[in-house]
Amino acid sequence: MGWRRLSTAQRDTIGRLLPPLVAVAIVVVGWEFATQVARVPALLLPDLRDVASTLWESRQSILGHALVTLQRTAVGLAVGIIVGVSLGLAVGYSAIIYAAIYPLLTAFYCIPKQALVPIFVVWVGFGTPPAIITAVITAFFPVMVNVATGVSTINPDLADLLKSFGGSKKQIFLKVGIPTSLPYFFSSLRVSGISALIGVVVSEMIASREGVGYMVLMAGVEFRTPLLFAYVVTSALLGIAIYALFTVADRRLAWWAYRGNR
Amino acid sequence: MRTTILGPLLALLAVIVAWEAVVSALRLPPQVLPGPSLVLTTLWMARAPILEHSAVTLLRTLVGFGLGIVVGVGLGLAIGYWRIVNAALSPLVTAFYCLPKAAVVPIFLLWVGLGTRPAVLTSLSIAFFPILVNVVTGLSTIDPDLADLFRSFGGRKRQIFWKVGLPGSLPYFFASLRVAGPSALVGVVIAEMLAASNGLGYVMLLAGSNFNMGLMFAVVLMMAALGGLTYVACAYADRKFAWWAYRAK
Repeated sequence: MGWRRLSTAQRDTIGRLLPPLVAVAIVVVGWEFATQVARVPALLLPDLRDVASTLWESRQSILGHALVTLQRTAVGLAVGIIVGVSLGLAVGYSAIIYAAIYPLLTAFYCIPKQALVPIFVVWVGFGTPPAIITAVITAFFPVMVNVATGVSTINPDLADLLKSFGGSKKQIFLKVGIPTSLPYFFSSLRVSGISALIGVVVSEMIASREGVGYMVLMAGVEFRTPLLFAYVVTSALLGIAIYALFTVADRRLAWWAYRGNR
Repeated sequence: MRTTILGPLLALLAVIVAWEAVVSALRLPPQVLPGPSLVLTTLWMARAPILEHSAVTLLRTLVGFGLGIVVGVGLGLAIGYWRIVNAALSPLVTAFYCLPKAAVVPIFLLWVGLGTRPAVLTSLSIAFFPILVNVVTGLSTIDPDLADLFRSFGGRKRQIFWKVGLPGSLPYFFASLRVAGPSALVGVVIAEMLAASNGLGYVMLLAGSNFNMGLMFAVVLMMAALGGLTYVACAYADRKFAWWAYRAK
């Protein structure tokens, strides 16, 4: 089958899929070369087949720990979204609240939030509670910033129109500000979702007896390298799933915001 | 200008006063919530070791950040210049972004041991990403009129890249530093909590295992100062070197 016989759409698909596949193939070949030919010790870099077989053999326990991590992330993210949206609306609505708390929040942004885990452990104990709290405080920030940005960057023509028809500040906020901020909100979820996952994983590495973070650390401490890599792959898959979910949600729920760009 | 500084200062002061008031009114034990006075006293009494560990953390952050800039700019230029590299790498880069980098720390431990090296590697792996994304964005949003002008005078792809694309991407690059700087610190602190015997992350974990809340809050204050310092330095660099991009606003 020749290249010329393919339709444009088929050529596009091949053109899109081929380069990343080649890149992955290069990584795989390089990995194989390192383990088979260069004989890098299995302790440092496990054979790819070992990682795959470990993933399959331990699938039950890996799935269990992944579900624990996923649940913690989901709860933390949900609470983080509520906090972020409320703060974002408050900051975007009132200039006084903006002036008062925005610099404080910038300062808060500069603190490595994951370092607060030991404090949460003293406050709320071990396991799920500190993981959720860490997820909340890492996840709310992008949501808040984007909602505040969205609310405050309303189309001035629209606002003027409402004002000239006697619309109050509150009405403009509700009818122009909030719809305007929706695309910003949806695009912040991707970043927040990943941040929540990172928060949970760090908390699990420090203070938990289950979850992907704990297992990564344990596998590392016990020098079980194939298991370690299997869990790193699992954590990446969790992240990719979260990212994909919110990318799809963004396209579906805020499609009207992209209309002009496509 | 004065009100923009006064407002947050008042808010900060209000938070501190309220915090101290709550702690002393409810007679909260320091293991539950230390008051600002206790935190500051702890910070002062332990100033020598805290400064020492801060210096270690700062140094690791700077090295990780520097390497992150090199990797981020290098990959960003490659992806921005060759369309094929962009097509090949962008899914991998997205996948790497989704990977919680903390989970990779144990691998770094196996590869390079404890202490400074895993911290720098973690820092680098977190910090390069925002830089890479912004350099690529900057290169892909070049002014089409300028590019056309170059082309009509016989400019080649490489010339357009160096003379139009690169200068155009500079503001994006400097803007990304504000995100990358604090991220570099996050990476160092996470690695220090997991695998180091010095640095603020290590002190944090140690203080936690002793239930020393005063020290933990003092360390958090120090981390906030370091994070703020990197942020302010990057924001300053942004204004200093990319001022011409803000002229229109």
